[in-house]
Amino acid sequence: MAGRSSTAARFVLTGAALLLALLLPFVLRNYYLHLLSALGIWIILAAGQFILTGLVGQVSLGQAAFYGIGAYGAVLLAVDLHWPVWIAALASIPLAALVGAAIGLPALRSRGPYLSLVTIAFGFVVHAVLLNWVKVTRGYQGIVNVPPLQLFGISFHTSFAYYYVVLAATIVTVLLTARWSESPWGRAWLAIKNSESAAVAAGINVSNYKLLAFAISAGLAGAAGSLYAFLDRFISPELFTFDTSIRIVTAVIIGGLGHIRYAVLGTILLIFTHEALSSLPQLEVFLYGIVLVAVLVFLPQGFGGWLLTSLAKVRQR
Amino acid sequence: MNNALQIAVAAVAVGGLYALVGISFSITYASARVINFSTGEMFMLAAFVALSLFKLGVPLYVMLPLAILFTGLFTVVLERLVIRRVYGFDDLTLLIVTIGLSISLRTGAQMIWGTVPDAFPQLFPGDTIHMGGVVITPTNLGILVVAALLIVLLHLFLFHSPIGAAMRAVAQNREVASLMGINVPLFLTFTWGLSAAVAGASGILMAPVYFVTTDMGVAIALKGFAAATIGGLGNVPGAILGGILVGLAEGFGAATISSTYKDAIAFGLMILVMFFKPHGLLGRAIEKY
Repeated sequence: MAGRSSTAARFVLTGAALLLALLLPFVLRNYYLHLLSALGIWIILAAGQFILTGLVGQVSLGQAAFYGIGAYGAVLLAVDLHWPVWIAALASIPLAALVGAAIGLPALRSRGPYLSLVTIAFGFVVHAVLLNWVKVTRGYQGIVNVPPLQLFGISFHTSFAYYYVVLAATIVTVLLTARWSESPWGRAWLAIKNSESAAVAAGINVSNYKLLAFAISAGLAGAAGSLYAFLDRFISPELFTFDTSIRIVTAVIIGGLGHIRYAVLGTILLIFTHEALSSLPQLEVFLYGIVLVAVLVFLPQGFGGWLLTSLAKVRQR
Repeated sequence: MNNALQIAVAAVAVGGLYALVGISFSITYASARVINFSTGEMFMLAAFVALSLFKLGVPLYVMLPLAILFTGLFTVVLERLVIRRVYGFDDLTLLIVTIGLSISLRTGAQMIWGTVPDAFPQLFPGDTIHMGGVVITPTNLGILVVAALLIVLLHLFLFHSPIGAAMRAVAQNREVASLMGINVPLFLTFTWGLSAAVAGASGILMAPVYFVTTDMGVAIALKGFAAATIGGLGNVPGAILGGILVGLAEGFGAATISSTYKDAIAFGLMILVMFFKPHGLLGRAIEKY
């Protein structure tokens, strides 16, 4: 009985949340719509990190590189090669995924810290290329006047219209990620995370599953980059730095590595705290570092995991 | 030919600094299994403390050891208060904790010292030296000599002193070391202090070459970390080899390809090494000093 009523409650809650998300643009000012779209993009980034780190246990500290490849790929294909904008926006996703799989290759051989070092190094190399390959990327000035996204003859150039594009992409991403976690892929990934040698013994092709996770994770970051490019319609190398990669990991860690729901919660906490303290940038960064350390030391399961265990305790009473 | 030699001399001097920072990384990695991303902030902290002391009129030969000592003690406190709590956690947690510390230390320093770059007094005054057509600045020579001296001292300390032997025992196997009567927690704390002191010393060596800023540790820490990784994490000779290789690759890369890609070269080299030697050039699957 309890199971059925909680399923019903969950159904009602999900429906209400969806309705709220659909109606918000009619009441919110553009500024907040823009903020919510940015939040959606960050949730997609967090989902990419969650798959790699939460499900497979691989540490990537270079997600910003794939985010940047997605953004620059989409914009350059649309602006310089004159591809239709929506094809350019989609094409940069497999592009990022391919690069992600290539970076996953050394991961098949190196373990633990060495992998995170490769991803950090890759992030710096991509940032340096974006900054210095001026002929193609326009260097530190970035690319202005990115055309708006166009689909079926509709131009998504207002915050209002674009909000729905991001909303749809975010919902699809979160649902897919939740589904993958429960699928045979997800179980294979979890087996690799728990014990690689046991996974091998169980007949799991560890290399292929790892590469798959790297490709999906990078592809999601690429999709987020593509979405971002047509939201602000301005991109520059400074958006895709090591600090960005750290923020993406932070979102997932603050929420907790246990479930995609926690990663979403962590991202919401991160983005809104950042927004609330935006008038005090120095203090924001200072607190951000301290909170990050405090969460890891005192709530190693993240806020999400902590909430879950506290709720379970309350129910037991 | 002379040109190449000229580049090599400067590159080796910078490489010596990278090696020192790389050793700082390696010491904490070998003992505590932590890649300490706040190494760059220890580098920066020592330079700022030294500069503040200098402005108060403290003589050079007092201010330098004092600043290094302060940086070491500061890190000892940090280890006792924070880092100690996460020993034995997974790699990601350890890495992110030190990144969090690095972020807060850097912005904390900005709140204290501001963001305007400040000049540091010259440590090695004198005229440039001409030697067989190669020009050596006294600063480069000083860095090279002091870095080499520090590396030799560290080597003697780690491999030929009882304290060093105990540190290596802790690095190899904490349980066995503990059974042999070594106070493992104490030695771990000491390791962090020593690592910070080494980073601080290189920060002070570097300070006169560039201005002192709160961001000065970021780039150098990454180079030192590339050096340590290329050589093999936790391996002291590896860090020296890695540091010199990174210095040379940067120097010749800037001269032949483009100076704008200088920073990317160290990391490109690192990715390349990781592809073929996943544990670094001198590293083994099981690391030791």
